[in-house]
Amino acid sequence: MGSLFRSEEMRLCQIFLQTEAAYACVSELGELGLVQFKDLNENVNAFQRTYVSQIRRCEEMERKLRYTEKEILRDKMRIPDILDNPKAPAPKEMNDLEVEFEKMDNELRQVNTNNEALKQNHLELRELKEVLDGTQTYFAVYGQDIQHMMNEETQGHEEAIIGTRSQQTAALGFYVGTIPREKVPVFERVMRFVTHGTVFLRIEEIAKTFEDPVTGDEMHKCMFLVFYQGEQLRNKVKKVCEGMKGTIYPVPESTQERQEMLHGVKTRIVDLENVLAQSNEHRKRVLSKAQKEIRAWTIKVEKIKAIYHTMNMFKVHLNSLTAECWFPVKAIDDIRRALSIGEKISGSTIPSVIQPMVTDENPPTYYNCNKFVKGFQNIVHSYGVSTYGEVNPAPYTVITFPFLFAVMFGDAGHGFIMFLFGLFMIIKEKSIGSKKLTNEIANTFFGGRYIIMMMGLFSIYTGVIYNDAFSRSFNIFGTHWYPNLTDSELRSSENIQLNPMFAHKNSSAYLIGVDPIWQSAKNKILFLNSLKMKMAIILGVIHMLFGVCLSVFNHLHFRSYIDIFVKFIPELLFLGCLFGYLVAMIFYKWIMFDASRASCAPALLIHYINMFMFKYTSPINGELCDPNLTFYKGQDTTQYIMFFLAILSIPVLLIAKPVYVVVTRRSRAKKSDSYHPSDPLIFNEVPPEDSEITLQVYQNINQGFQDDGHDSFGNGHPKEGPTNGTAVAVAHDQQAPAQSHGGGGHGHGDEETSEMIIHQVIETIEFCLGCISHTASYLRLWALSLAHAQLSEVLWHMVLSLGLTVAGRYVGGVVTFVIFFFWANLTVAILLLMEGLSAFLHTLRLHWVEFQSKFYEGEGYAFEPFTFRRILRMQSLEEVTS
Amino acid sequence: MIPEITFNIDHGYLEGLLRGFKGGILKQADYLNLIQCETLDDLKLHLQSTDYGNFLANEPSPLTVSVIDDKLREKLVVEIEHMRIHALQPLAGFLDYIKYSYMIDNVILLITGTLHGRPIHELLPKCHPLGTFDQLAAINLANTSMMLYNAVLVDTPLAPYIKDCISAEDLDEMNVEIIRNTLYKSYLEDFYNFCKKQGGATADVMCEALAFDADRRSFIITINSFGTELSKEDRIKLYPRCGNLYPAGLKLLGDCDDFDQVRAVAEYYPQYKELFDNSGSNAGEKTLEDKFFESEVHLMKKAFMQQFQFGVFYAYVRLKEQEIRNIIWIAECVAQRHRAKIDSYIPIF
Repeated sequence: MGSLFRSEEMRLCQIFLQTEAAYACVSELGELGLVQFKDLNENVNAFQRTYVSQIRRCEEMERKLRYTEKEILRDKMRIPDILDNPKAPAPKEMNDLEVEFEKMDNELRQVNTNNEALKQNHLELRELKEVLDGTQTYFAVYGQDIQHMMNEETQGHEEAIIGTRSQQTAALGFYVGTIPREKVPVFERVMRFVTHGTVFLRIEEIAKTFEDPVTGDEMHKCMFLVFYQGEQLRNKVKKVCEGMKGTIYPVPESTQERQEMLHGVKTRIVDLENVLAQSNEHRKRVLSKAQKEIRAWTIKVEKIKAIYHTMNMFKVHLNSLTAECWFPVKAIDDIRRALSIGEKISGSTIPSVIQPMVTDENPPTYYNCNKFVKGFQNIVHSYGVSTYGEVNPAPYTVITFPFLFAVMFGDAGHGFIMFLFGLFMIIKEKSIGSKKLTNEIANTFFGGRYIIMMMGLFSIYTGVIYNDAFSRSFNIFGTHWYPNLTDSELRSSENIQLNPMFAHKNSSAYLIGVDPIWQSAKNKILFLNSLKMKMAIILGVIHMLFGVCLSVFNHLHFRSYIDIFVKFIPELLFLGCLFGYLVAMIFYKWIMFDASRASCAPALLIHYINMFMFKYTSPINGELCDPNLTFYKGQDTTQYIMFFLAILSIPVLLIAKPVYVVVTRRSRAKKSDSYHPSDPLIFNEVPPEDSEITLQVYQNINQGFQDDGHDSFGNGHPKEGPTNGTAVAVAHDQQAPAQSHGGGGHGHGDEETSEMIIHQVIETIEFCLGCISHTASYLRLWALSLAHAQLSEVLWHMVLSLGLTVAGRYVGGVVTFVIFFFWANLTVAILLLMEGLSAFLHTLRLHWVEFQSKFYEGEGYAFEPFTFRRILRMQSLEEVTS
Repeated sequence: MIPEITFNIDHGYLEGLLRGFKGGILKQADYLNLIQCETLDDLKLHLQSTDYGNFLANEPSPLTVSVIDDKLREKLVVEIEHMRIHALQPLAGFLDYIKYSYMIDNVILLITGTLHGRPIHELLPKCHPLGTFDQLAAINLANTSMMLYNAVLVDTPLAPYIKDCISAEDLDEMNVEIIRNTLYKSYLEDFYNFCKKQGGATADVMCEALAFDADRRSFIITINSFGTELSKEDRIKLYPRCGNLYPAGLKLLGDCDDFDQVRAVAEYYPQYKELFDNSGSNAGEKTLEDKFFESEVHLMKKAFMQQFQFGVFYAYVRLKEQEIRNIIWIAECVAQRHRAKIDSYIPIF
């Protein structure tokens, strides 16, 4: 659990792997998923790397699998999920897989080609049947008149051209065929242009649909009948048909022959269908064999590919590979175990070696979160991944986020619905999670299920405090107001003012939250405004103070103790004296002024403004009551102190840090003149002393090596190690950052100094102005809460209460029933969804800007370990390509 | 109203999209990697790491150059079609104009194909997908330009372009060339006027680009006509009259009899003088064609300097065509193990 507050301790190590063991070791590390490899061959082309041929083989296998998968899905067969996690096969087995895929692929392709040919044949026969049918009916209807019609049709043109009409009747022929429906208009048009309208064209749609033999899509076709005369026209018509993808079928002229042909075609169709069914059966068999295995195959191939990709990032030596990787220090035992399993599998006799490296590179940030914290961590990370080692705001966000949300969303009823929704998703977590939602919005909601549940839970709480559920109040504990009014008094006036002096039990208050009597009061909003506004300021200042306090842990961790004095304390003073004091005044007013002294209650706003203008009017004698008079003894002195403390902390913030850095740098420069030359050799012997864990790792590893016995890179004599040179140089550097945090090396001092001063000025201005604007920004808590309450009240009064006030028991019931539908829908759509989203956004802002700006840098990068988990989650191979 | 203000209402999305596509055009570094490839599979592997992504993933090894060509072209077509579908007028019209040039190419391809007695269904798949239209299928009927007009082009946008060369003569190779060039000439002039009408930056950029194209055609026609039966009068009719050469330069070109005279004409135009000066067919020298391509690439890159205009769409198509030519050139060199001239591709960025 300790890991949540800061990133896990990360370490950069070199791993030396024997070439024969590398594959198995990387495979094991992938299963473990806790190691992030660095690409050591960045300037080598993708196709010039060591294991490129293996990757290419994997891609070839992928292609075959993709083809098979597509075929399986085309037949609407499901690809079953597998529960176990097949390990990456050994490199030798890759050949077997390849052979198997090759066989499957060939078989499938062959079946498909056969099938396609059969289907094409079938399609043609069916078309022929339709065409024959069509022609038959056509001739049955118009048969006798064809010649006659032809004459009429062409008469118009022919007479103009002065044709020889006697010849026409002689060479009348016809073509029958089919054409895709979408081509019909073009076909007609082209036919007309080409023949100048001298052919008779008849097109009829075929009611039946056909199946495209290749794609399996539905096709609509039309049959056409073209009557032409003469050889030349025949050629033209034929060419047009060919060009338009039409199919011409040989249809005999006489009815008798057509009838016979039709008969023949029908029997052939039946035969062909039998063959087709058998061929389909065969295809199904082939596919179903693949169907069972394909998931496992896919995972295996993807794993092999991932492993080789990773191995491509390693440096290659004669018979060993060198990898550089980041991993959490805690996981070192797991990693070592994984490596030794890998060695055992591959039968390698020489063990792999882990060698820690010292580097000035920033380690990646890694939190080992559970699914509950994950959502909150994501909220933090979408602002910026935390710098390695800095305080992680996520654990605090777990509470503050839902709480600030609930302050704005304060309604027990709405909160309850939200809570149920979140709870529902959590209970159904497994079944929803395994379904793999495709809808992005649904996915977002599902990802934030724990946040939603927490927000609902906290909304119930604030709803109870506001005494607000669907804009109604509950009088559970009995109101503590008791207006002793007579009937006549009630009847005589519309508005009655209750004086808290006499109408309230002043000894106690309503047990939890706001007294329900305010629900019916006319000045409810005035009352709640005052309450919520002050509350917003109080919560905001506490939230910010908390943020400032968290920065101490950063300073402690990074060992910049000076920052505690020049940064943290002035910041705390500035914020505390100005706004902390305001909060104190609010509490003072709440506690010290009751109904009896209501008229003396100070106007805080005026007092606060006067604090900056040094204007104080002290009471002449104690009896006088005026909100503008000073309200406690020594108020002016206190306020003077507060004000000047705050003002004085500004120059401290501005100047102290740069001065300190410049001074230390100068003194160090003086020292290093004499000190430097002998420096590296000393560091060489001693591991960096500023982190104990490093020491532990060294010791751990030392032990490990000693156990292993034969270790060429023995850590005891680092001078022999291959990384000796770099380790020495870097070790020296690591000492430096603690002292010159924010500064830099020794060389270019002037530029860095001016840069640092500008940086400091900006930071100071940002903080001081930020405090003021951020405090004001927290007023959104009040504004949104008010808006939410008002909106839900409007909905109640304008919609549901209409139904409730309609007269009549029976009619009213029905009306209410109908109106409730509208009310419930509007409540969910507007109040829960829209208002919920807006409150969520504002909470997000309050955390990112107002809270995190006080301590959070967010300039790290996330730890992205090499893992097979993504491969397991992958639904289909298409995801690889897209 | 200044067109720049309202441009984004209709065309902002597509321009943004296009500038995104432009980012995917291969850089010099990519080419340097490509020419190191030993096999086509290496080429594929490298292209995978560019914007082309997995466009070859489903192709079985061994790859052939023609497969790569098809896939490259397919990718461009998908992009252009996507933009055409989402385009509003007048951008839609503009994109159509770009497609017309492919239509002309297809028509000519099919006619030459049928002249050589190839069946139409064998030729149709060879057509550029950007320039296909339904009537193309009837092209095997056209044995005269009259028939070509009547049966094929009459209700296509190309119909107005052919009206200058309708005749009842049988088509032969000479005729086809003349038809191609006449179509192209009318097309270029029409496109030129269309762009001029758009005004603003579009006119600035496009008129320059089209003028360059027109001039290039004029030069090439002249050079290719030496030693053929084409008469000077006919030749002069084929010159597009919208370039920088029009009118004086075209007149001079019309009188040319050999290459040196053409070079002399180019002397008058500094931008072309340079191209002729540095070109040659000797080893180590670039051909005139390559010089023209280089110059075109330069011009097209310049088109991206201005915003709120259609020129970028044209420029993108042109650059992409050049890129495809480059990749194919490299692929051919790799496939034929003829690496000597592998680096005579034309780098774009």
